[in-house]
Amino acid sequence: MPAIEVHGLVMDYPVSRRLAQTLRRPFEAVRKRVLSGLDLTVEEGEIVSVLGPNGAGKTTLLKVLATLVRPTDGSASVCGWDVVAKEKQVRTVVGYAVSEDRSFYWRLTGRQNLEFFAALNDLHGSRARRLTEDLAERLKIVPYLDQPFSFYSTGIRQRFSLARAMLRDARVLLLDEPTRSVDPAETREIWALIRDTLVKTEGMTVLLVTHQPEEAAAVCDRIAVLNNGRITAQVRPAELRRAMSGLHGLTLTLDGFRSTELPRLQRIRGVREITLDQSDGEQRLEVWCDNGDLALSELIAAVTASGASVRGLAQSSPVSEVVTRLMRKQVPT
Amino acid sequence: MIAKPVAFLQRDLRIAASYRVTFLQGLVTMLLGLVTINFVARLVDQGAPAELAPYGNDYFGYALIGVSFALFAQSVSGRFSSVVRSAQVTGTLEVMLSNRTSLPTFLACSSLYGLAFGVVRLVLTLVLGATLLGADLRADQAATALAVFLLTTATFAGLGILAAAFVLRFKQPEPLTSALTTVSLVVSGVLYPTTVLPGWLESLAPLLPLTHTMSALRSALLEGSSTVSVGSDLLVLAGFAALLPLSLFAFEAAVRQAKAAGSLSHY
Repeated sequence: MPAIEVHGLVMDYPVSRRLAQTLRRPFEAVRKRVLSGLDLTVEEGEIVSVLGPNGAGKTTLLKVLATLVRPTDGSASVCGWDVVAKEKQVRTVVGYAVSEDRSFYWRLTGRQNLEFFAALNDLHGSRARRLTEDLAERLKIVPYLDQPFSFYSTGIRQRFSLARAMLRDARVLLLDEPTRSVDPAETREIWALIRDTLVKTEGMTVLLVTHQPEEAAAVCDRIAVLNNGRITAQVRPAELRRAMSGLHGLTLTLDGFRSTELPRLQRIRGVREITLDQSDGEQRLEVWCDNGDLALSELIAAVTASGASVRGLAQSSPVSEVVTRLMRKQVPT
Repeated sequence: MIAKPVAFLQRDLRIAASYRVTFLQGLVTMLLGLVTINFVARLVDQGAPAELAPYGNDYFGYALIGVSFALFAQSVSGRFSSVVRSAQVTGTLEVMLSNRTSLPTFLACSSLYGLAFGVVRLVLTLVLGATLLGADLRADQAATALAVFLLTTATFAGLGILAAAFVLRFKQPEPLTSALTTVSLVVSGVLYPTTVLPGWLESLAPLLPLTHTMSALRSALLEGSSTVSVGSDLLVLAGFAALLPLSLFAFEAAVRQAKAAGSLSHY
């Protein structure tokens, strides 16, 4: 049995209207569709990342699974329990870690917070204390337990959020941007924690939302791209890496470049794709090529020969690019 | 069974204790209020108004009961909506509702500290008023007073939960309890007998639950009336207390609506 099964999930949010609109059409319900027939299956012990642009419905999907949002149509179940008909049972197996760190009591210590939230899950006294200590050990937050929550860094707060989600017999963890506002070193640790401790050792199933394609590809078994309320693509990181093997992304910032020169650059050996972006008053040449070094030297030579100058150069991540294109439904050739 | 209420009480006590100045300020305000009422009572008692005759011409006792129970009713009715509002604003509401705690338990436990604080303040005010400032309160009808207290608590808890449902539904501070408190202060006989009101306003008084609380409590604590003598007030209060299950139903409906609109955490 899959840990998470979602079929044809639809979520419409009511839209607030101006007074004049309400008076003109008082009985008309205006709604915005956030999820439009979403299908997704996550197997037990799998770690799946949902990527998508802002407003795609990622958090809504997590909230539906955490029973905090009631879907308009379709079905969703966690460990076989329907999220609408069996809300209580779902809450016993799902741990939801929100990225909102205000959801803790900042005047209390981390321990006091965790013991309080344990009580909400019917864990009291010595059992709650033992579980708190145990989670703190596993999530490496023991030194912080007795400090006020307001003293913690963002990374530590994220760890406490994970610990809180595990204060029950959770078999499925829903993580909303677990590395948001976290520095790179802490980010690596949190991903290792999710991958090695929660999934590999504890056998949990994790569905997470992130805006970091590179990190998702490094940690997850599968990446699901959510766009306009549907899963538009699902890829395994290995497939992604294979497809992107040898591909290099370059962004050149230019001055005085004429777009009529583009076909000449496209003929340079190893260049797969080249586009000129002049949207915000700057000229940016985005290039995808097979051999970065060779193509780069030829590109720079061709650009300067055309009378333009190169002001800047940056490398682009192939994984990010592919995922971004999947979001835009522009799968690379 | 009691572990959850204890956990909520512990949490709220710890948070309250971390705001020591606010805690002390509440205590000082209570004491100063008590002294002020006592001085006003001395002035009023000199004139011996006829309206106070049924209460033994003791304005201090009259006002002490009025103010202390009006404050208690206000704290009960305001507590539920403030708990929900604060959970919305701090972002803890969704976390609470994604756990194994039922809605009625969440509401009752979240409001426990406020209710306990209200009871302590009420008892302290009455005890200090009687022992230090000479209010002539009778203890022989304590059971009647207790019955009034329980029905008043249930009534105002019902109103408070309705107000909390309003907060969830409309995502803004509710105006219901403060409006009710203000009107009750004017009409329900908190600081003066309703007989001094103009006829049309006096006729509104029985429509407010606090009027019956005041009337029954003063009968019990100032005149020593029995439960039977204040039976009509108790019956009316019991009618108002029937709001409690209805308000729980309204709150559950508000949560369902908020989940359907995806607006549980909006404020």
